[in-house]
Amino acid sequence: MATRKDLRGYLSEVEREHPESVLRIKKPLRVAHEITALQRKLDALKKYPIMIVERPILDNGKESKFPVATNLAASRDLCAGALGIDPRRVAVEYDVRVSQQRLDPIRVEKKDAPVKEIIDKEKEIDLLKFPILTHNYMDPGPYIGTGFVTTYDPESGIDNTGLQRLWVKEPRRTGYWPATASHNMQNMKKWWSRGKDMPVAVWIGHHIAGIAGAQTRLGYPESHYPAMGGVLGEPLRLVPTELFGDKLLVPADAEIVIEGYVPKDVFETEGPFGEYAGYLGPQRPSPVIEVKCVTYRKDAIYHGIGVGLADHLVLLGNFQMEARIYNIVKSVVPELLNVFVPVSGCRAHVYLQIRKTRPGIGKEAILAALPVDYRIKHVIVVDEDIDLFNESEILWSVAYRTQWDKDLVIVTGTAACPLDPSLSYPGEIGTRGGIDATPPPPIDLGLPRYFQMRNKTPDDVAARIKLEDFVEKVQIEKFPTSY
Amino acid sequence: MTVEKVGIPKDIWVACPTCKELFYIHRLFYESQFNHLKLRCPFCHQEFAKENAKTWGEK
Repeated sequence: MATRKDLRGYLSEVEREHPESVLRIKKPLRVAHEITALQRKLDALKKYPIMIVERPILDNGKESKFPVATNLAASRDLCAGALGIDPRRVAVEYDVRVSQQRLDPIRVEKKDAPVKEIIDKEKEIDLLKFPILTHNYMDPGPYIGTGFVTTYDPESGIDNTGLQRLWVKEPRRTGYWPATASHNMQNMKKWWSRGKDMPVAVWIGHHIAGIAGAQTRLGYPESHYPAMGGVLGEPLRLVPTELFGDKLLVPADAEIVIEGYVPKDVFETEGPFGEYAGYLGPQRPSPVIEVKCVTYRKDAIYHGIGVGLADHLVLLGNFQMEARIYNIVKSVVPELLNVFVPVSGCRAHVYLQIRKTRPGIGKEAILAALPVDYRIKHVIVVDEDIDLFNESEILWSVAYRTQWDKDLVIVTGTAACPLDPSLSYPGEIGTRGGIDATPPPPIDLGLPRYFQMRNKTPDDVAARIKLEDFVEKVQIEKFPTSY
Repeated sequence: MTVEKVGIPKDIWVACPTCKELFYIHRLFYESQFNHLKLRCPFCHQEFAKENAKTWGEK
């Protein structure tokens, strides 16, 4: 039976094919901090089941009728699997499988759009009836962390979608922080320069493949909807919004859509808010959204996010970074084999794997990678004998394959991530760098390197001595570890 | 004011005049465009002018 290409279709698929990967919480849990607390404890154990909280308790003490699904974007294996990609080959396969796929969307009528089952307008609207999470200490209240904010360019009419945070301040008012360089910010400036409030629609909840498509890096102005369809493998079904009609379409199979305006020149305080960098970002001035309409499925599932955890990083940024870095660095250093953006670095760290065939290409790879994304701060280059996805091996490579006075690349005065707390005000310029942790290349083809070999067991002995011949798997799991 | 490593801090610490809890705000609040905005305590939700609160790091 074909699975529906929406959030609940994806959840059914995972429960059917990987039941061990889904954790259904049947005990009540508060949306204020408790759901994220549980997610954080699992994150600390490096465990990333999809969590479905069936009985979320709202801030007013009542049980929400809508469940929360979170950790959907946390597991590298599950997310890569949903996209039909090998989890250790994301850098190589993501572009072809995701970024380059396009299918034109189709428009459906309201009666065929599950997201229109219930329509609340004006005083009927109460965002706080949804189980929106308060994630971190110092967050001022519930934040929509998986809201895909869709606006349109007033000149061309072309829509743009970006994942941007919204603080639910009141039942019909949210804070809204569009990043300075974002296309939604460009649209907002255009609307405001025309003396007008910016129309906006925020959709929440879709199939994980569609969400990956919505994250595609595009030019301006360019709609994300064909990319979403391309990754879903079928045209994205779109429906006109209640407020803006065919001027602004939204996914018909989303769980919730919030419609409203960003009023011209209105700034209010927003935050503090814990962000993907793993730090509590400061309170800041930001625009707002005045909510005029909310449409949703009658049994909507609220897609929550683990802010600052793997859920915030893996599918919602790291995959795409790996692909962009791979494509750009490969064009300069053909010996590039793979790229990994680990959860541990919160997008600041990048590991590159190369086949070291000639001197200097380690540093060339660093210089090619650093400008690809403003969030990249540290690049470590390793050789092909290192397991790129094993951070212990990465650090072992740094330990004895580097000298600080020979192998560092440091570039000062570069564009920086505004979330970086180590930057001086105004926080726009920083320093990036990398370390070449590769050994020297062979002096010629077929000849050894001028470098010591790793410890190893002779090949014939390694092949002959099998672990399972001497010890049971269940015994191994109980043996002590070290660190 | 400068601090070790960071230089001029981006963030100004504020003590809420009502509940006395500490939080921090972006230095943008001291720019002319946003100087008039009231702060809002994330703990007790009271709004207040930053001039009425104890702050650290703005100078």
